[in-house]
Amino acid sequence: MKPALLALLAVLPVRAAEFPAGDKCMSAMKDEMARTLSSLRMDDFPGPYFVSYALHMERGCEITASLGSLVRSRDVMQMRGQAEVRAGSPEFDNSNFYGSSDEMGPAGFLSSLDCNYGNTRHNLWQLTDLNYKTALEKLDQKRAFREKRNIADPLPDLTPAPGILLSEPEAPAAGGRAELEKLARTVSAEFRKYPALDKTMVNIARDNGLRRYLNSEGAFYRSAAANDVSVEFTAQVQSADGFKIAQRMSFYYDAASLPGADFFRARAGNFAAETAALAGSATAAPYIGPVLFEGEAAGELFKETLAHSLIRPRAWWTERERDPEAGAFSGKLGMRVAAPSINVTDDPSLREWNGQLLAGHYLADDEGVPAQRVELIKKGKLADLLLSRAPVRERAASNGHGRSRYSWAEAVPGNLIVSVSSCAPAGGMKARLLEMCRELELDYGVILRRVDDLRGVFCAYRVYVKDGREEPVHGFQLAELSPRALRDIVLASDTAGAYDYNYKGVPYSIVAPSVIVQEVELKKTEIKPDKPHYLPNPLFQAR
Amino acid sequence: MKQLLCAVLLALPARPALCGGDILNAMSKELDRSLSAYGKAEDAPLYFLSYQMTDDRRWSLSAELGGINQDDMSHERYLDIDARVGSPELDNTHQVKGAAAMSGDHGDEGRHFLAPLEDDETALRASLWRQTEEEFKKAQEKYTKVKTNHAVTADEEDGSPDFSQEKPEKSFREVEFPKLDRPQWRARLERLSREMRRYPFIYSTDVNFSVSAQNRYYVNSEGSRIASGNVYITLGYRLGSRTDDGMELERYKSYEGLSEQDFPSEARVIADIAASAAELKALLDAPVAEPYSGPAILRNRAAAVFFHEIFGHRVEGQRQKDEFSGKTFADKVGGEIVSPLISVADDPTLKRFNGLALRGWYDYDDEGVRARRVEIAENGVLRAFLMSRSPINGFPQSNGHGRREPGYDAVARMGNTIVSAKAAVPYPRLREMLIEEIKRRGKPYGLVFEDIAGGNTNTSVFGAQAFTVIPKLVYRVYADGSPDEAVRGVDLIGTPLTVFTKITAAADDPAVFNGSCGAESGWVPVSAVSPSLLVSEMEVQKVVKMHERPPLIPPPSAEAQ
Repeated sequence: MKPALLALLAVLPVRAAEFPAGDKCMSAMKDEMARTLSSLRMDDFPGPYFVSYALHMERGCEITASLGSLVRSRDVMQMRGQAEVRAGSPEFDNSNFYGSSDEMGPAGFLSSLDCNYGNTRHNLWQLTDLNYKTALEKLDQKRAFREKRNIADPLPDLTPAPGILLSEPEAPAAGGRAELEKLARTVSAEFRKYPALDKTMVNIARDNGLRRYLNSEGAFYRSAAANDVSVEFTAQVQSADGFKIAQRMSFYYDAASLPGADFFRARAGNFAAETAALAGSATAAPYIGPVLFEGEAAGELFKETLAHSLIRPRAWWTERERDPEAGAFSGKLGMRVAAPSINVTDDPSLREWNGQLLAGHYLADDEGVPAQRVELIKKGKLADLLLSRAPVRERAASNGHGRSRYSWAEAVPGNLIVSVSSCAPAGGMKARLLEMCRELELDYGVILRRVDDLRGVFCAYRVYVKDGREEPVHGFQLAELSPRALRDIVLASDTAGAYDYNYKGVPYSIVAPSVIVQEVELKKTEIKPDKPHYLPNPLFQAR
Repeated sequence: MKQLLCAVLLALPARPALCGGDILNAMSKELDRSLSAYGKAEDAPLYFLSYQMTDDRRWSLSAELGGINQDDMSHERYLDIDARVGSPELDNTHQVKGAAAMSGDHGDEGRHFLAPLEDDETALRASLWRQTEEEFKKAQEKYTKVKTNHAVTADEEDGSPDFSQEKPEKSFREVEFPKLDRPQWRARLERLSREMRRYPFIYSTDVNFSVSAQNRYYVNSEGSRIASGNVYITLGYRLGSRTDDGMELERYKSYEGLSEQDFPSEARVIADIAASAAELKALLDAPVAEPYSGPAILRNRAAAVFFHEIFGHRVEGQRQKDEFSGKTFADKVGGEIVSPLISVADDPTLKRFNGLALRGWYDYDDEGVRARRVEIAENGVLRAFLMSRSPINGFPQSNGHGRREPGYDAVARMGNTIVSAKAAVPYPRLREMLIEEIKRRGKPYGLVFEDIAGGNTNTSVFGAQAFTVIPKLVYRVYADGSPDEAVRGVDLIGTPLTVFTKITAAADDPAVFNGSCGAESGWVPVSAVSPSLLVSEMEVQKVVKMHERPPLIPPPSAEAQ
């Protein structure tokens, strides 16, 4: 494990910068901010005490191809804006509360693609006005809620934070859509060799956007997104008893280091063969015992049990029983939340892991706070939390994880790195699984590999104690999935993989080893199969 | 309640990369293969199958206050498959009645199946294969429900078959995406949108330009093979504001063309923007109207929208046998339903009216039937309905009005709805007639509805057969010769059977409304044409009041001035 972690590539620390005066978008933000702070008032109410503006230039392309032919190809080009307005005071404002009118957070707008000054200011003006009025109304609702619920000692809503001053040069728009289309055609044609597959797609997306941010405390940044390319394969096959089995595989690279078509063709071929083989898979039967989570399945396990537990530790006030989106680790600092061998950090400064780009990299969060490395779990105990500028009882300061995409900023991971103090060689994990099964007098154990959604229906492999033979099985579902699984991890591998996810559109990554969970209950899905095909795929005839 | 709402679609986009003949060949091959398998696959075999592929290239451009907010080119292809099992007399599309209808699945509408964009027969056939199987399985399931429901419920009033027999058609007419000077259009939109800065009372605004080239490829098991194309080009602008009492007001104008040459000069559009801004200012200063019932004029374009909304949807064929429809006109064929001054036709074959482009034109509908002109009402008497391939009592055949947005099932829809009037007079005379009627009735004023933005009309049996239409620009015309006065805050309400008989005169000034109409089969391009109409009695009610205050500080553009 240690050697693998050394491969993590950190970027240079954030540096201070001059305000990019020649940037028309930034000028419009600055000028409208000044006017807002000096003039915006509603009758006898005070003006906003905090305002932030964000403009995200989304720029790139999206391509889908199937069987060698493009199905969709388009440029993505839009400027999306947000205006966050807080009324009240840092001690008590309109945030961290589900109001009646805007549970989705502040509204956004589409603005000029080329930073037209008048257009940008007009949109900022409109949205600031709307969100200020909404903030006043929501603040009033929140006050009434506090009175009704007799809450005597509320937490502050906005904690002080060092603002970032960052100005990166604006990168020119990346071209190359035609090359990516060619790649999509070439790679998707590989699936023509597998007529057992019903439906196959290759999706390629490029993103080289630009984010701009300014707040009323003086923090600002202009941060260029790297020229990223994501490649995804999807395929579907029908089992002999009629179950439709869908599989997915994805890659994420810097455009400059994107491998060539041969690389992806080879992986597409392996993926297609692996998926096609599932046509002959057995039907699931209930299972209780140890499960080895390998590769994507391990990433998915840590996403569901670890990442989701860390998101938004500050629960919002709500008329409901509890904030449904607050993470399960809220209020559990110092408690054992994972097996004693597990350590977890979050480090948004990491750009790559073993040559693979990490989607969770950023320099400043969406509240203008520099991203910080956080040691979250030490020897299985929760040592810290991911924090935005909304403090919790145990922690007052943001650690640069206030992230959002067209909504209120929430504490969301950047790059979660799971490491273990004792581990086994990756090649020995299966042997250890079989050993555990033997001790439990089980005929077989279960390995999960390419699982797209642990809360859905997935395929697995039975591995027989007698001879180590693997048998693909379809139609499994987890009987239960909770953060408890982290405490039941008994072994981890000495190598790790990097997996990318998103929470409400905010990208983050998980770097995690394969793990064995001591006891997992799997059940057969209740979903009924479909009729087999009436006609063979015309690909059969074309061959 | 069915909400039938029309609005002008501000959209957008080039010619398929592959040859249309190859597409039809690939579709025909897979259709033949499917027929050979599904025609004998189950107890209820497939008796009809059609494939339609819509190739849609779009360019959408949007500008605001001198900056371009959107510049999107897209190219997509959608597949629609109509698989029918059973027989034309009773098939899987038959309406389920009674309690079973309330628990039916309605989640399939608006489904989009993308097809390959490139000239690859195998890829296209693989898409068709996959989707045909899905549709066949769904058809089997639905047919089982239909048979049981048909057996356990009482006979329908209209026992017409589910599917009409039509002549196979063969036609090939594709369109290409127009050659446009894109930088020039971008610059023009920037300039036009900059015009809005002159009017600081405008809070929200945009200028849109959209170009769409749409080719539809259709094959069916009866032997039809059709390629049919349309180009739609639209330029429009919108100006919005808000009164101190919280009322949202807007002015909107659009220009429709079949080619760039159809569009007015930039100077003309700028003049129109100025006129719209003046109208908006007048509305901002206008008093809130009181509820009123009395004589009124529907100006030509407003009358066209009114007829489309309130009349047109009620003469769509399938509503006459729909068990849940109010069937306003179902038993009125041969009877007077409109003032005898008025005739109404729907003619999708017209590309232009008085030189103006019509969005609602097409040569073949989405069921492969040649479009035909339908004389719906002649001198006030109902003669016919708009028909898809779903027959109704007395109308066993389609007249080429089966239309859909990709992803929906085709039903009878309007194309170009043409209202005409005999004994038409010049508009100034119609206005004099309004004043005469106001005086005769002892009313202080009458109303002139200059602009209508659509509305909703209940055609369901579960509610009153009434309509609410949203006027955007209304003037009071005083009997005593006082200047006309703009008023705001009213909805036009009424019932269709009474309002159409109260048309007492018409002007000789037909005008065109172009837009897109949303209903059961999605959004389709439509047009309506009408002269100005004098109605002896129209009723308005106050609109639901909004409570948003105007912005607290003036727009930044006002500060710069």
